[in-house]
Amino acid sequence: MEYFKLLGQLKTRRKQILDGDNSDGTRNEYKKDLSKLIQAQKDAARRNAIRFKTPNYRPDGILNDREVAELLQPYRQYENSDENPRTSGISIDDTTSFLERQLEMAVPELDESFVANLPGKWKLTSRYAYIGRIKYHSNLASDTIVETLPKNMGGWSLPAEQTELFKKSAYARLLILSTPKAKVSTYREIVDDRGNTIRLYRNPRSSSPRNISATEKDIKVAADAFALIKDRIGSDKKPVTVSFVTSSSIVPGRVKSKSGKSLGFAFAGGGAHVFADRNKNRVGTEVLATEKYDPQSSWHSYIPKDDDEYMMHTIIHEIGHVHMYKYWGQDNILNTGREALENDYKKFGIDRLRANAISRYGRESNVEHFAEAYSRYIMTGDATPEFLDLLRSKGLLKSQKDG
Amino acid sequence: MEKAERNYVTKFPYLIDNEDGPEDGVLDITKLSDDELLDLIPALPEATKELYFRQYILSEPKDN
Repeated sequence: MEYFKLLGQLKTRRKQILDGDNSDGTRNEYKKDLSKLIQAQKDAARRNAIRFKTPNYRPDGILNDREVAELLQPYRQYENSDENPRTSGISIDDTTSFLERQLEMAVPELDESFVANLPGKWKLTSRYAYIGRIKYHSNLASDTIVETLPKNMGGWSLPAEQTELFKKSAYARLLILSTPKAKVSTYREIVDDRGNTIRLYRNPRSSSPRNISATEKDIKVAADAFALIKDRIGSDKKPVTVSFVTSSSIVPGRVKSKSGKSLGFAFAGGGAHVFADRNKNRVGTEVLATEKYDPQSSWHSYIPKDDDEYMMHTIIHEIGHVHMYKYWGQDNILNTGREALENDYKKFGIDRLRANAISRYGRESNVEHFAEAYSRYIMTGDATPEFLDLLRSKGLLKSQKDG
Repeated sequence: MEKAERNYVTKFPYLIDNEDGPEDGVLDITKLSDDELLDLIPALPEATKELYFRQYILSEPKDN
């Protein structure tokens, strides 16, 4: 942190000098800050028993050869002294391996044979997959920071030889930050042969890695949902991730405040999410047994017979949203597909309020109408000709794939 | 210093479905706390970018 603050300070002083303030005072402050910067590197190296190497600093239009030599002299002296370790006691690679192992231990546990027996071809991903994702994200982020340093730091860039070290240390730092959070945010995934994913977060209230955000029953319902989707629309080319979230993980800000009673949510680029709290969301089955489906007044487009079907309806409804993101748009902020779907609703003459009404929920918007009608079609096979035309336009009917 | 610039996606549209009816909006990761970003990191590379941007460019860590 200090290192980057100093870079900012140096940039300000440099600008002052280049703008004409070439007074001894300002020049001395500039030199002092440069020295502090190198000192910070030296201190960090000593603190971590890592060999210190004097930066390859060159005259920069402000300092001349002599001044640069004077600046670096004490550090060169330290570098060549016996005090500077020949090799690092603990390498940054050893440190990250240690932290990775710690984090790996916090990744949820799942029974492999249970996963293998789910409907469809599901496999449990390795514990390391979670760490691998963090590493991938960290490297992407480091690259972005390094690329934007010259712009954000007024021309300062990280010397090439330090870029790799920066990436490694930023990753290690992220692992340190992540480890105490492991009970909240780690997850394990199961993936089918088409790339669909069921992601299970660890329950943050429990110290056991076996305590996850969904029961085996919930997971089976999700696998059944994917099997039904395959039956109805064939093997889709755009796999979907369904995440079972806990009440206090993954769901940020505005979404989080709803999570106590929210059943599901989807976000562009992030997939479908279900909050599977069976205690809070239990369906009154005796009430449902007497309810008849009415497209104008029923809350949902399908009357589930029990908790499992209720959950399945929610999962498929959310997958419907994700399919809109992916098939009508590009699954990101620039193109969520909403506009294209609205246009297609006009094109195919779908009227969510009257002729093609699907449920009270579906009356709220065309986006919700789509998710409700999609869910009804997947679960029962029922759909209006207009809705089938809409699905056909994106190749989402099984008959289009099976010849 | 000129204003530091983010050059990555910071907003994600969402749809929440709950008993009160649907709600749709946009999740702005620049408004999240560090803790919330950490929870998002495994799912979104942009959450890591935002965290690094604060720590290495702005040097202004945001806490809850």
